[in-house]
Amino acid sequence: MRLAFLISLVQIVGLQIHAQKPVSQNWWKGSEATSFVSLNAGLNANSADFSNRFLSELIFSDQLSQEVLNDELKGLSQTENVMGLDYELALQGGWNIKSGAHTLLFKAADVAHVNASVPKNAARLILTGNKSFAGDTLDFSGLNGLGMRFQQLAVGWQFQPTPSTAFFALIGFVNGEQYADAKVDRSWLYTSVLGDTLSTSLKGGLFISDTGNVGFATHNGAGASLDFGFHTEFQGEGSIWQFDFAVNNLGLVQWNKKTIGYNFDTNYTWTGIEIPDITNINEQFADNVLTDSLGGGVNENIRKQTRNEWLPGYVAAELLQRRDAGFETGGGWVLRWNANFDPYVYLKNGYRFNEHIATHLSVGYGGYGTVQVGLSGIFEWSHFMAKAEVRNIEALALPGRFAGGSGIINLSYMF
Amino acid sequence: MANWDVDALVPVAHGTINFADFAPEENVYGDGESLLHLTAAETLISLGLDTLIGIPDYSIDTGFVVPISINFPPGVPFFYQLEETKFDLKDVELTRALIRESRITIFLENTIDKPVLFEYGIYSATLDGDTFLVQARVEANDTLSRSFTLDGYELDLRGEEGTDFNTIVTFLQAMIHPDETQNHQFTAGDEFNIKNTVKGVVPEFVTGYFGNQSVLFEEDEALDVFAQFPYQSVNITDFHVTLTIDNGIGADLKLNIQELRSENTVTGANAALNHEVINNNQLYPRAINLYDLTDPVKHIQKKLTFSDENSNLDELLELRPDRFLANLDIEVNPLGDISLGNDFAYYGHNISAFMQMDVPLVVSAKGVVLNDTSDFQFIAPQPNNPLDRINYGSLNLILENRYPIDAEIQVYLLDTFNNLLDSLLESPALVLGAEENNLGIVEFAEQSIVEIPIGPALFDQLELTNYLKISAVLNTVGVDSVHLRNNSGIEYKLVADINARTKK
Repeated sequence: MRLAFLISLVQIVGLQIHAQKPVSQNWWKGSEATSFVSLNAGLNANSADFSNRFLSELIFSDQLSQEVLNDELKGLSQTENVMGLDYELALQGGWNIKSGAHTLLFKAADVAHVNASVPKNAARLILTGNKSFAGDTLDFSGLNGLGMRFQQLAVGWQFQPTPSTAFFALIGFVNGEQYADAKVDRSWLYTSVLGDTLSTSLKGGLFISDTGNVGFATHNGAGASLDFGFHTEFQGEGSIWQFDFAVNNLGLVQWNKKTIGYNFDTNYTWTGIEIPDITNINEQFADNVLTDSLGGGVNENIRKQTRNEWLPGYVAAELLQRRDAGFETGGGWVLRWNANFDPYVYLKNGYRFNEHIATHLSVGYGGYGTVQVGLSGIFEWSHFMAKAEVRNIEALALPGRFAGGSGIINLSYMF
Repeated sequence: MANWDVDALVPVAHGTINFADFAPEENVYGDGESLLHLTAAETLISLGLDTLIGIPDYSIDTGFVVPISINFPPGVPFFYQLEETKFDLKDVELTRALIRESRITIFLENTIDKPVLFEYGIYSATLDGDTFLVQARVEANDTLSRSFTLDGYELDLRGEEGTDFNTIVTFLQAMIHPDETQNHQFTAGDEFNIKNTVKGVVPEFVTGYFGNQSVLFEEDEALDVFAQFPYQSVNITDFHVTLTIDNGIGADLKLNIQELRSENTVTGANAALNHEVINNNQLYPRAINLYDLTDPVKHIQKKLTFSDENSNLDELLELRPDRFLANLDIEVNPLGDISLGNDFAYYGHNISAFMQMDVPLVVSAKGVVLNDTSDFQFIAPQPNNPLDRINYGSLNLILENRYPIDAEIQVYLLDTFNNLLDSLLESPALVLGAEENNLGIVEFAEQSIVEIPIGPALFDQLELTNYLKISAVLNTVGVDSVHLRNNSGIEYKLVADINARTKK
């Protein structure tokens, strides 16, 4: 009810926003090609399966209360509970050549992406222990996650043949700083009724970039990325419809040969330390090296290797009405790869107060969540443009139901 | 990152307790029907040559003082002594011996200004036809000490005439060393001293008449077969015990076992044997000399059998003895010198009493208390130690008992002065024994679960604990004796059932 009220309220106000779109912005700066510099900064974290209440208590408090824990477990999906985080800090610019249609582009960015999918049974095992599964086999297959941080240096070109159309493309060098990728395809745990036997089966892989070489911009891999897209406009009745299409971070990183790789496919049964001689139990406990054959099995398969990983990029399209003043509407969609990201579609509505100021509200569905709401404001002058967005308002309003918190700021200076 | 509490069920340890594990491997075996037998072979008595016919250490001191001044040429003996030494062996009259070990030390002192050649011989000792003879040069105004052995020499102990016994013949001679070129003028009072010591004579073989001697032995033999079984008492219903008296001495014997007793020195319990052998003289004929050094003696053995019908030996075993005590009276040659001086004894061929015990573990026990105290050290949970995160819970001891024995167990925590601190169990736990079928075989194990509460309070007590005392009251299942088999056992599994914090 609160959610519906909030959506209705914002729609009535007519704000137009972006939500659940990745941090990066496109390159369109107006009907006249111009030189510019801009600063993009954003953080986008979201999950429809976990809640802000749970995550904030988990991260910031001393004790996770049983009530919050139980509520969280009730709300989880049986097979997949996704969360994602994107961060980007980018300095972008364009040099318009001889005040013509061609603009050289550059971009320097620090990017991080994390996503994880946790089956409900895995969360139950982690959060409550195995006792409640005594006599049962707990299948928690499907646990996976990806984390990556990289820096980009890209150069490109934008061609604006008409005032309402522009094409752009950038090719970039990617420095792979840090990387972790885990996939557990098969995992189950059997706990006997009396607890005297634990059996588990694991199949999957884990890859981690050089753990001895960490820090900002350290070099653990290299790759390339390609961004391209276009902007065009259609004339409508009393308004212009602007259409933007962009492909961002199409590329990959080859993480270097110091990347640690584990592949495991093992079954293991643990019945406790075997004490062959009860009359000498103290020494046997002391002497017993608690080597875990599961760990041993994993260790046998540890290797160092190069590994290629696609960048978690996206393709996005947006159609947005532009008026001199008044209500504006539009919508778009976002697809991402290698990001555990469901297709995201959204509607945007907003109000343009004048040619300089507009606000937008978006309501979308998909991505790392379900229903998502965001709010943005745009301030445009001839030499200066600022955009600010607050995303995942639904998680702020209903912290027990949604998780997320995002903010983006974009400052541009045109000359 | 916040803490949260999880309920975990984790196996800690497992194993099998088998009665066979408590005894040395050589003392336990399973028969064709897997029935466990406790066996022991103990030599209660072993009397050898050294006990019956020991040749004593002896020493001969000889001094010679020149009475008058006299001129003597080199190479001509100025002192000569042939001497018979008779050992005091009481009734024993040895005529011949072969020496296995011995040590002879000769000390010579020369007080004149010329080197002297001493010759020392034992006429009675020969090796391959050669007499034992030592020549030694002692420098002017000097002393000399030398050591020899008689190992392997044959001693003729019949004296110079060949008609005596226990007698050796030695000779000693001294002269100015023949290498000297001038005569020596002895002055009255010049002195020579010779000391000859023979020690540690161990014969390989002796012959003669060993006399009619009677010796009372009080033997005390430790027994370790029961040491690992911490029961206090149990009813043994079947046993097979033999006592073999083995005579390896070439002399007739009369043996009287005055008393045979077992004792548990820990509990103080003891029992004396009732059997026809007690206080009854047993005559043992002499061993036979085969005159073959590789297998020289045919022993004469007599075996005594003990059963529950002719003895109370089960009482001696049930008290878990750690020693056997025997008072034996052995009389050698009770009929006199019927061998005409041809008694003999070889090294390693003794008079022995050898007990062999085989106890099938068919037992009954009612209210038998088993106590075992062991050292214990608990390392208290430290920061970052997983134990420090336990809120509460229990250690569940899951027992699959295939023995037909019930046990009521409790574990006590004792401090360094053996003061009781606490007990692990709130009340003694009953571990049920399995039922035997009519063939005395356990078909199905009986499961019991003993819950041991754990938590910070217990950890505090464990930290003060120096000893763990396990106390169990054992009762065999049913009214009859039960069978302990080597394919039985108590399988135990220790499982931690705990509520724990994810972080300290």
